[in-house]
Amino acid sequence: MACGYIVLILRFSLLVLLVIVALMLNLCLGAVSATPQEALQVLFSPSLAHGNLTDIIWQIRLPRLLCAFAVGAALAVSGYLLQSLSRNYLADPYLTGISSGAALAVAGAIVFNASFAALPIVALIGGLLVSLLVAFMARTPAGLSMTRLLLAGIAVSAVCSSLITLCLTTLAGAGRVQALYYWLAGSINGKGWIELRTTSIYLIVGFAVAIIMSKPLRMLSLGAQSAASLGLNIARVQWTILLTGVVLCGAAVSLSGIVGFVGLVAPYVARTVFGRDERMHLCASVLGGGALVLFSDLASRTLISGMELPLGTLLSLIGAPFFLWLVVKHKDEVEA
Amino acid sequence: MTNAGEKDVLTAAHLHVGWQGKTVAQIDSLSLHPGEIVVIAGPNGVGKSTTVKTLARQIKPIGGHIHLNETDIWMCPPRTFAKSVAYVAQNIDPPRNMPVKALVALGRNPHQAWWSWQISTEDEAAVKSALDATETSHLTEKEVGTLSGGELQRVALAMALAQQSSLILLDEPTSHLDYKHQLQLVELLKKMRSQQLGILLVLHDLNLIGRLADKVVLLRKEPAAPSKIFASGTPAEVLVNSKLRDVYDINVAVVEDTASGIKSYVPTGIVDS
Repeated sequence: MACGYIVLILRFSLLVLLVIVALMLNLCLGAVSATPQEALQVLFSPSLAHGNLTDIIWQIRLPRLLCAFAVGAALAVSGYLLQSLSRNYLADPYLTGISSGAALAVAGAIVFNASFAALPIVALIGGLLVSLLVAFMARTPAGLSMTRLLLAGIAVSAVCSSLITLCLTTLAGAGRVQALYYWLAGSINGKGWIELRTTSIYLIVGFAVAIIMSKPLRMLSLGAQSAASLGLNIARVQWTILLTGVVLCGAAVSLSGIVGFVGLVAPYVARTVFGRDERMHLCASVLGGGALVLFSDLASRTLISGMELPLGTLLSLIGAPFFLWLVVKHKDEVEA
Repeated sequence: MTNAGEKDVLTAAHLHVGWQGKTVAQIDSLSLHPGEIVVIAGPNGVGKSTTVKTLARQIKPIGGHIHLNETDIWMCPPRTFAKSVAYVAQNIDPPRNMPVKALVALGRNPHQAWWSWQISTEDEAAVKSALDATETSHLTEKEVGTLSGGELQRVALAMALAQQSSLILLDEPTSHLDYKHQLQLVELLKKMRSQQLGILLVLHDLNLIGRLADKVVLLRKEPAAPSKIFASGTPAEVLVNSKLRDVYDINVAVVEDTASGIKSYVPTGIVDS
């Protein structure tokens, strides 16, 4: 028992270390490189003269890496919540169409010149409508059918993507097309303090509710029938979890566009590596999702010199094979 | 083991139970009092499990009312209901890697703050008592996925016992149990009855029903109509060949062991319809 706890603490410490390494690399690497000492000096003593580096770190890299961490953490927790809700490892905001719904709403809002402050709310509404539609199509007397949920998610995502393309080609002015395109491909390039401040309230509320709901999440893992017999208000808990998942996904989408598979990979690793405690899973999802997007964002801007790859594209390259592996590993659940 | 001093009573009147608006069974009157064991029996598809699920607040009745004391059960907050009524489903499906002790401890949920993970000494004592009563103490560190069907059934019962409700509803609790554990369950349920727990269960085995029940409610399928209560009373009144033949389409010989007074029910043949 004690041995189990020590292993968990060691694994968690390693994850924290991984996040610190990811943060430092994101801070130091780029067109203008800095040593870790320089970066830390700029960070903790910004009044000392460091030339351009102060501006680069404080105005570009720091907000960007915080955005990357927030996007990863939000998508991972959103995925964890959706998986707990459907009792299936294969549910995530991207595959269930919630990201696409949020993205369509945001794309529409951008075309109509909405301010960034409105985007998280718009994304939330879009994600919520799609989640309700997908859940409606996947419902069975015994609960949600996973096969139908994924199929409905794919179909709704396809419709949303088409409508987004329509927005791009017919409605957006020429100047906005490239920005929209980049945003849709999943990118946090150019995101700064203002965007971070706007979305942080949604993220903080989302994470806080997720932690508070950790015990109901465990109850729900028994199945709705057993959880109800133990006094859980199933409808209230399911709605709260769904809404929290959509809020987190909406906030992430408004920051980064569509970034897929983080909500699939990070919670799966958290569940399989970090024991059985839902609180530990949530913390590990936050750190794991954050680290995944931090490393991916670093790769997207440093892999090819002078060119930035879309973050969403990079993550899909990792995530899609992982999804296929999961489908094979959990084929019983997929067929359910 | 139970909430001492609680005198909860579950009553159902003019109850229509079923799925998606279609009535499967019609129960004119049914009640469960502290200190009694009521068994619902009848052939497959007659609506026994649906009735228990409806009484357990798992599905809404199509018609009629169920009251816990004076309150309609759907007006009771879920936690309040769970403090008074525990329900053990035919099959439970917890995560395979959940340790048995953690699963049984979830039975304490109605007595804890909904968000709190804190386990009081009272919770610890209730869990230990439930594990001891169901002879599952040796399984506490095992993961649920490694248990046999019978072990899982006993663990599910332990979770319900940890709930310390005054009424308990069980849907076929012996379906995965070997003979020894079936008889142990009978003794455990009798002990719970002596502690003023009210127990309602669905059972198929007439021999167990005869040993256990204070009252048997026998449901019968009706042609082109919902099932109804065909007979209700003590085992001696209900478990007689004439009634069993009408309900199950079989002839049953009732053999009494003169030394122990225990009756055995032996199916002797199918009735030609």
